[in-house]
Amino acid sequence: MLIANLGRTRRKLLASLDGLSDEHLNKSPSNGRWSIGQIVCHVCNTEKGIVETVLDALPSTSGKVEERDVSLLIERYESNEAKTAPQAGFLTKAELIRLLEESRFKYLQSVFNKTHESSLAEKSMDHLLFGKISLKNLIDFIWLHEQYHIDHIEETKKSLPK
Amino acid sequence: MQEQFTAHLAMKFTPEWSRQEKKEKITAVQEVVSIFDSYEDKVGLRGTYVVQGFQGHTDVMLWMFGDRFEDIQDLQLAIRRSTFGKYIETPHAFTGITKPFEFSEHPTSFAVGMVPRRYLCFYPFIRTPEYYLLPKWERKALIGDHGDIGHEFVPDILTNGVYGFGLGDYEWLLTFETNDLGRLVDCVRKLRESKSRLYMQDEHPFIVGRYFELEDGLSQYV
Repeated sequence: MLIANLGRTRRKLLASLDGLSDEHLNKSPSNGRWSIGQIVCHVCNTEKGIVETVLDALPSTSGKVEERDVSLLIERYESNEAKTAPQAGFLTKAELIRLLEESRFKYLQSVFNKTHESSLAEKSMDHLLFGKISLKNLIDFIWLHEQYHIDHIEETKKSLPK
Repeated sequence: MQEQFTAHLAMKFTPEWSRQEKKEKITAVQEVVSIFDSYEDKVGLRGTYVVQGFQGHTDVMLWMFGDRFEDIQDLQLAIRRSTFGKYIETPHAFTGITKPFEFSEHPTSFAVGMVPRRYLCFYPFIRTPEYYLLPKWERKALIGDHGDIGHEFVPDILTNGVYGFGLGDYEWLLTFETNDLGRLVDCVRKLRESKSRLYMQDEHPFIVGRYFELEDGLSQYV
């Protein structure tokens, strides 16, 4: 289900960008919140960061740990990692999609080119922010975090000029 | 990994098709679109690929996927029974299933949410019996080497490998997707240097096509 969840969430994210112009994507809401482009960059950066962590931990001989409710970790991550807006500059929709594809197919895919979902569940690491966590749960974090920001994008869309 | 069935259906128009009135052809295409609409929640269509100019045996290929093979087959039967179905032959049909590969998960690009590219290059293949008798470490090294070559072309070339064992004449069904045919040529050429090629028994037909939405793709032949 891990891959199905990753795919389903990514398709939803791409669908959420449908019909938005480059100007829409780069418009910051007046309340100082992030633009949709910045949200997308944050999603990409998070995916890359988590993948690098998982790739570093893969060769270790760490054992299995209990599955965790990853959704509970998102607020913790957001309050810690997302204090500063991503330095995105003006990015076109094509450039944003390219970033999403790079983080997905160049980074995340490299995890699955090395191992299986079942092996990820058998390994764990001591994460600075999350504590003991399985590598599978870390990959779960990617799609749950993306889902969180799809909601964020939908909220931001409401503030865009018609 | 959640298993899904895939179907690559290659179609060729009969000479009768070109003798039909344009109006009838448009209606026939719309009937196919309606059939896909009625299967919207059961069968996904990755793309409609116009093969004109690449291979003569096929005019258009549909790449479908779904959780249940029955749904894919029922949809194909509905097409065969439709007006459109009267004017097509199916020179090739390939059914596969997504499963983790032996040494890694290697999910298909559509499973991880990558959008389709402008071109598809599909081919089925069979490895030699000797390959399957190699020690596991040697097969792993061969596949690893092959994968490293391919990874050089990511994300310009998306890969979709599925199992075909027992579902047809072939063991593996591979689909590349790209926006750049030049990169595709570079990739396939470079993969010829992989030692795993020594264990390739058969890999044809190649089917290459340009991506279209369903109605647009079929309408190229109206």
